[in-house]
Amino acid sequence: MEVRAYLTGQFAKPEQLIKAYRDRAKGKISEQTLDEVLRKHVREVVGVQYASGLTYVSDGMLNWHDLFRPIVEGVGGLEVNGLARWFDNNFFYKKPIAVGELQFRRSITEGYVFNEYVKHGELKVILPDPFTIASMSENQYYKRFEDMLFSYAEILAEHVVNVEELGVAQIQLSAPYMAFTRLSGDEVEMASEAVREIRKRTRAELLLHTFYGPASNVIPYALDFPVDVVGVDMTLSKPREVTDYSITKPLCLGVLDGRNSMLEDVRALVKLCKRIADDAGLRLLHVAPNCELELLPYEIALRKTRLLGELNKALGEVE
Amino acid sequence: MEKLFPTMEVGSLSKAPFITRDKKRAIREAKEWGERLQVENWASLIEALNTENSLTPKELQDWASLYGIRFLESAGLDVIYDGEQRRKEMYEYPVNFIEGFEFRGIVKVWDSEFYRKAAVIARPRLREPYHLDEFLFVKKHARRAVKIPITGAYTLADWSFDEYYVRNIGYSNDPRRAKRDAKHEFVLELARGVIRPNIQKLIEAGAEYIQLDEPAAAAKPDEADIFVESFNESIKGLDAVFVVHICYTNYAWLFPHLLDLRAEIVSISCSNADTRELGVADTKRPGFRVLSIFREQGAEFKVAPGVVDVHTDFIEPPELVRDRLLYSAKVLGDDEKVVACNDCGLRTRRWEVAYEKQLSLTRGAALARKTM
Repeated sequence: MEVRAYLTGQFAKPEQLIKAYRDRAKGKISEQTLDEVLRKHVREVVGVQYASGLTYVSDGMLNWHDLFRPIVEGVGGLEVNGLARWFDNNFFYKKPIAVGELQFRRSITEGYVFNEYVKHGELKVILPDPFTIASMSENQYYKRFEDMLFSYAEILAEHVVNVEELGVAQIQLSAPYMAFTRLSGDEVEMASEAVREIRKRTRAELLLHTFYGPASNVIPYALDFPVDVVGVDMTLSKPREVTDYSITKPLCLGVLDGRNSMLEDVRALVKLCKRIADDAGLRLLHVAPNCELELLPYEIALRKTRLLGELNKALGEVE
Repeated sequence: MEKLFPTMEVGSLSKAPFITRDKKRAIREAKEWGERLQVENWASLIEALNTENSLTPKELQDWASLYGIRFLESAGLDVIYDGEQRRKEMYEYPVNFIEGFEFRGIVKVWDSEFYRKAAVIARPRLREPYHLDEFLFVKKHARRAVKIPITGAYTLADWSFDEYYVRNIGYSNDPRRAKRDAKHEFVLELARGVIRPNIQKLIEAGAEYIQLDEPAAAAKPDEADIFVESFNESIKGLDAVFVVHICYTNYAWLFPHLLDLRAEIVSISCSNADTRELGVADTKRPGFRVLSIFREQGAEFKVAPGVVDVHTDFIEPPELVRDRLLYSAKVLGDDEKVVACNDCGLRTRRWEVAYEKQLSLTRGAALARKTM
């Protein structure tokens, strides 16, 4: 079976890096020392992905405080307010607030993407999907939600253009909101059109990755989105919630649980993936953790990455 | 708490200001607060601070606890504790007293804030009671009613990894159901095997008011029933006044299950979403409109809306506290259902600010009583 395997979000932060951030905040260490610690761990996270044989390699997003922050920092017209819960996790993000017309000012390639450690053409970059970031922002400026949504889409499209120049192989749009909440027909249409603005600007493989909710909230419409791959959270989905539909494009099965420390049994995952591939008639399968590994301790995130490598290899050997 | 708008502490204060390596500052703060709060024998603390290594860490904690007790009493609160002066956090400490858990490492909560997260690997059992010594100290020294806070079963489970129940249940064809059933069993076993016996020990030691802190209660909309069942199991057959504190969440998600909660008081946060303008009109009190859900749903328990915002140094004037209480009474349709307290603990505020806020709380409640 042809398989592609990769991570799907921010990697867990190692203790040494956390300490470095705290020390920097207190003025105990310089920006340069912090950068050295950061880069050391970026190399380690990239290294474990290469050693595990993953198809695309992410830099681990170790300096992203949350999925939105680097985007917010590079946009005029946005501020961040207090903390808000990140879906149903014991994890909080700083809520973006649109206080003016959104204007692209700085690319994430300036300080938030470490492509130098990844071979050209193997880099994976992750961005929020426009509907997710818009839905989780507060709108104090635009007359309509739709206006803010498409402003975000424009901003994200600019980022996509910038990362494509780095030799990116896959761009992931993280769309947890789409799985956590069942969108209405109008919302689906808006969300799809917003993604189209991004699609227009890149030829890289585009993955719409949904998580924190069942595939049944997503599959009925997401296959029609202008993307190459659709990702679903199999840690919260029955296989039938995927295979009951006519699958018209490659799926990314989020089968490793990024929210629990228990290590999965690779044989059981192979069986699950094979069953879904067979029932859905898929010849190409993408496999991944269901979500970011940031909600795990660093050592466990490393072990889950190696496990993903084992799954990739085992599935590759399946006829 | 029979008077109208009784006042109640909720959560922790920051550490007593004399807990510092700066010796001069420690002595100055111990003196200032000792005089201000009329802490008995404060001069002997100054003497000890002046003498190198004459205080053990335990003795220093005792002093901090005593100052915390007098802080809340001096501000005039009816129900007090010690500002949780011996506690650093609310998860790791209790987990250390429970068999069946293993720490897995640190995980992020936001930015550079992390906590050490454990996994349940076997049925949880109380190894030995916790919070008992600190409670006995507070009880011995307090001159007002004492309410002890303890982290609830649902939050302990929600903040842990599950490497035991999911494995045991594990029907892979329906992972959502498997996870929910596993969580249900995990939470109830914590309630029965850990929280209830611990509360039993606290009651035997004289605890009359017990607050279960459940910040995770409304994190998962489809698990409100599990939270409520776990609370009721935690206190089953026990005789005390039970309070539950749930802050900064969507309270609507807890209904209708919350109606089955066997708590006397539900403490919630309101002021952080409110305006600072005086008045009892709906437009002036947006943070308290959430109380209408409690009334519409027919909640029988008392509600302790936070009338003081703990995330700002703004000192609420007593008149603002009064109007928030009067508005709460109006929305709930029953004056006797309203208990006055803060949104949450004041641990992010300096003692100076926290004290002024607590004075405003008690003065505002007195004004509200007068108005009624």
